[in-house]
Amino acid sequence: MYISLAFKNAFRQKKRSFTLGINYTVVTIVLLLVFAFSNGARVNIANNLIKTSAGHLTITGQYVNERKAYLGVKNFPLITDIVHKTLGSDSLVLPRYILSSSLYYKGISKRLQFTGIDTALDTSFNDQLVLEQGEWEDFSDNPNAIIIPREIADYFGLNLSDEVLISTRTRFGAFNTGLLKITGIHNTANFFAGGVVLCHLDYLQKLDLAESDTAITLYIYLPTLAELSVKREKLINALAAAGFEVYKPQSNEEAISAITGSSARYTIEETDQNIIRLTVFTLDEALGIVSTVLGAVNGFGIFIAAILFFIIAVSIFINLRMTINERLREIGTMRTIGVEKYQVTLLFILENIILALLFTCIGLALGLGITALLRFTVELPPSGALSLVLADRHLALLPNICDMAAILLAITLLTALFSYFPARFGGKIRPVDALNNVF
Amino acid sequence: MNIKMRLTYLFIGLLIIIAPSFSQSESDPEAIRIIENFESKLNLEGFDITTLFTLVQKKEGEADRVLRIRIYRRDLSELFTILFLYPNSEKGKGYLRQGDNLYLYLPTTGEFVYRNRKDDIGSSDVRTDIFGRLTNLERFRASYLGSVRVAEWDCHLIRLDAKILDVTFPIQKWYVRKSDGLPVKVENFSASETLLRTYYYIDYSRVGANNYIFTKLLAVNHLEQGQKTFITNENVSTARIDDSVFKQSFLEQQSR
Repeated sequence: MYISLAFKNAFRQKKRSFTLGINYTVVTIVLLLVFAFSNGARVNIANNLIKTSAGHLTITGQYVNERKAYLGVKNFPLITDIVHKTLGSDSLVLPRYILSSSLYYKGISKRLQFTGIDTALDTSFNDQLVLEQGEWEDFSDNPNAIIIPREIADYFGLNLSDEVLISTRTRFGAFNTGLLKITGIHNTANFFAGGVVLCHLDYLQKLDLAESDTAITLYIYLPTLAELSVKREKLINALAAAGFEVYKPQSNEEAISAITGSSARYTIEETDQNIIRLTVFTLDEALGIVSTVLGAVNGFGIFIAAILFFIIAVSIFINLRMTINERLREIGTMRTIGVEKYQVTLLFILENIILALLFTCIGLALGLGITALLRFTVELPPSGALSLVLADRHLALLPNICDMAAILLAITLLTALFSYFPARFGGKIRPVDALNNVF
Repeated sequence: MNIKMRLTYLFIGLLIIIAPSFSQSESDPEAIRIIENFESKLNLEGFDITTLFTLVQKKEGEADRVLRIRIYRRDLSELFTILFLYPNSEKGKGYLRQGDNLYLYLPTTGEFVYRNRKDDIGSSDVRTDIFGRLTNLERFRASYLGSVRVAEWDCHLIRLDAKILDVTFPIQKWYVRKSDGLPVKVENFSASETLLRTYYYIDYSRVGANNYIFTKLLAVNHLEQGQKTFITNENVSTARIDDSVFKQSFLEQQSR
């Protein structure tokens, strides 16, 4: 009975109810968009990162040989075997050789990061890179081939089949140079793949004068992402049993720097032992810094929502006080026929909760509509950091049902809280005062 | 794969097979004699040397960049200290070499960074190792390639191949003047034999009875088009240098 009465009362003052309702709707839309953005960005970044710059588990390392410590994963074929034995033969292990070096062409030079892949195993870039010119097969068939981003091609004025010189300080300190033939020019939206300069793994190994069993990182892809930490523990134990020194990253920053690390000159280490050190980190650790950024985005959205909630709280208070003033006779009558104080209070609270529920639902529906509109119609250029949050040139907005339920619950509870004090005031008015309008 | 590419691979393959047999062979006695001769003249053992070098780096389309450095050198102990004097942005920076170890001092952070002996002085085209004691025969195998003419001088041509890869330029060609046994030109190659830099020793100054120090040197960078560094060396002093100059505390003090 109270609910149907409250429902009827909620719209007695249509103008006032709609003004308050719009507030609920706006807050809902803002929160939904913020959460959809954050969720979409996280999923998008994780997907892009997995495809190009990290595995479900990633191994980086350092090895010491005759007091010289080199960056890289030494003896990676053995490590690959251990991964297959420990985590299953359906695990995919991809070695990468990453090198920072200068590219020269007709007197112009630029320092770039080169990524070397084993084309027989590693087809992830075949799916990822959008080749504007050239064919993947031209790249995979030619050991001296290179695929460059459109931006780099324009910088040098390069075209397919042009030959460029790469010059690097090897891990030992000596200079080495090589010729590379342009077999592809790509224009890729994926933030992590957009700037990739792709070469063959063995070419970069030789250029860096590294042994053929050395990679800079190993990406491990598992059939399922479940229990990554447990799988890492198993792998760490197996690697340690095989004589490797194995660590977990101390911080998310360490995981990120490992992802972006490239071959560097050796450093001196005061030890007589030859050691192979490995660090194994999970995708979540690589994404840790992303979570921090997205946490800040969420925080900003919640701050805006808090301001709007404050406006709603003030609106509820003023609205209810005005409603109570206008409905004194009704309050007096209810109290005279035996309605208790708390029941009057409850009635007013229910009226506001119904308003909040209704307009929050409208806000969620509108928010979903706006999300869909932004996601499917607005096209943005995939440049710079913006491409981090773009999926196929559209904003990667992903609304989540749990977030929507949380928004509905939070608005309902806050409305009940903000309504309680003015509603209690209405319930406390004595019937005689209410009937005489003299409270 | 076209014929040109096939031939390139064949050539690289042959190099891989042949190169180790060359590098494993002993140095040529004639080449050793020539190297020992010029190293005995250029290594200033028994002297403490203090000099002021000015480096002018020229790049096409850019204003000249000038660096001024003071070098303290004691070859007998394989020590040298380089102190940057000019420009102000580099002032207080320095290098300290103790044997095979080279440290770069950064006054902004007060740190000594290990630089593994091979570093371009202030991003110029000149390596720190040209200022110190020469030890070519320890790190390279030498072969004598015959006589050639460089400008108006008859020269011996020596090829050096690195025994270990812990050198800046693993292949070098030294052109050594027959008349006085001093190098006039050094071509520096990468491991795959691409010419990277050429040093022209334009002039020397005598130190003591039979020792020399270069006073004019031109370093040409073959990868960066039109980029070269010209070095002049003034005020060569052989006065004894205090031991403290070859310590980290000296560079720290100078930057204050």
